[in-house]
Amino acid sequence: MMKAAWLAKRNSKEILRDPLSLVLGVLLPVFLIVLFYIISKNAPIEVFNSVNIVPGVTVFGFTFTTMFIGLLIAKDKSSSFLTRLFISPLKSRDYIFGYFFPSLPVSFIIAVCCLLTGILVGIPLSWNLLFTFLSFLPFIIFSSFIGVFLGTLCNENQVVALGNIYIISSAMLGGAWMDLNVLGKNIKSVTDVLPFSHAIEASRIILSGRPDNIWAHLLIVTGYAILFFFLSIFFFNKKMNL
Amino acid sequence: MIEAKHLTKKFGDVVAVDDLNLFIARGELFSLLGLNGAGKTTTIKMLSCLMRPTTGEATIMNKHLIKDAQYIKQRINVSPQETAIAPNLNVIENLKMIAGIYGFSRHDIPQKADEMVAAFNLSDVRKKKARLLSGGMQRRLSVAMALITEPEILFLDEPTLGLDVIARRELWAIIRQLKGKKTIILTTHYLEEAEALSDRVAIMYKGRIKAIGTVGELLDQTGADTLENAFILLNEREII
Repeated sequence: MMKAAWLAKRNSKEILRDPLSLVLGVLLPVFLIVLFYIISKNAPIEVFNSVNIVPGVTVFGFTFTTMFIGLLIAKDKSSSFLTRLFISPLKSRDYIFGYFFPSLPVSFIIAVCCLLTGILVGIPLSWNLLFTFLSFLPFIIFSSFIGVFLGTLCNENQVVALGNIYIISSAMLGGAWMDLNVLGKNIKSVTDVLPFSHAIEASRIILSGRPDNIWAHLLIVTGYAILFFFLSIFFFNKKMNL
Repeated sequence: MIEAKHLTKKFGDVVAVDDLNLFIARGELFSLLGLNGAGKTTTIKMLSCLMRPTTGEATIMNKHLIKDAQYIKQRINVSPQETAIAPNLNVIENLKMIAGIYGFSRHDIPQKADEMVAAFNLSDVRKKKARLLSGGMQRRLSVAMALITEPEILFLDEPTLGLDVIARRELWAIIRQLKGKKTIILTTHYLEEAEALSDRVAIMYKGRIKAIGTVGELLDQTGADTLENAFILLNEREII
């Protein structure tokens, strides 16, 4: 596992040292939270309430980790860096861990920055913040493995294109800053089978302290995380002849 | 050290390497020459456990290429055709990372990285991010990353491609220092490079070895006065 840790360390540095990671992953969500806070002062709409908008924007921020990891793998393929690694004694599980792990520190930074900004815009300090943070974990894992999946199957340009579609879709179909009911019954039923709205809703329930059931939501997100865990392993091994 | 028997690689109907038979001795610097698409890189990929042969077999250090891949991987390394470095890591971090991936102890890694920095003249840029290095330095770093793992066999795939004449000669000097200590398999388009460095040369054409031997033997076989002319003659014979 030490060998995988070296790869994970390298991958974390590659992502964290890219200024785009800071701008897209951290500054953009923080900016959006502040922006929606200002809007909510002038237009008191329920979805713009800080306990609703902070989970939505945080989950939106996590979707960038998909792009970061997908791009990293795609670049490693095109630069022959992966060729160098494939000649090394690393095993299949080392690659999966090595490329999955960097999503954790990046997502941790995104979550902490968003929640701290949330406190500044009115979320009360309570244990709910910690539980909200924990409720993000299934979606963080899902975001990471879908990144491995994309990076394995696509080249850099394809990752950028599909990653953008994924990020925008997740925000729109997850209801990060809008009520999904306005999309109509048909689209709403589509959003119900996707993980985005469930990840947001679970954390909204916890953060607001509502007595609703979070487990059904978390179960769906966890299901997607497990699905893409296996898909990414399968396609990584298949494409890389491991 | 390396023995290939009837090694063949097919991609659909295309035969990239066709019935390759080869023996490379310990400590030898062996060059694979050929036009684009001759099968040099595919041969290297098979011999470095990157690609399974379609048929045939090979042994590396008396170990089976497929069954003992993990053993072999620990004892070989490669400097790929494209400079394969981690762009946002600095020179020393790149070296430490590769040593770590090959399982060297945390105690030994800094010392080994420092040795490579000194041997490859990278002291002035040891803290510089790899993406900011010149092409020549990136290539030196790439070879240093291959050597830090103390491989018994080193594959150098077009190591001087795109380098200016000074950077190329600097890399030649480093490769010369390795001669006899490591078994080196070199692919190159530069015939003067193969002539200057190699103990033996194989010329490939459409996946097959057309001639093999020392530069002197190849000159005798073809009646040419330089390796370049011998190479052209051998390829022309095939094309005609």
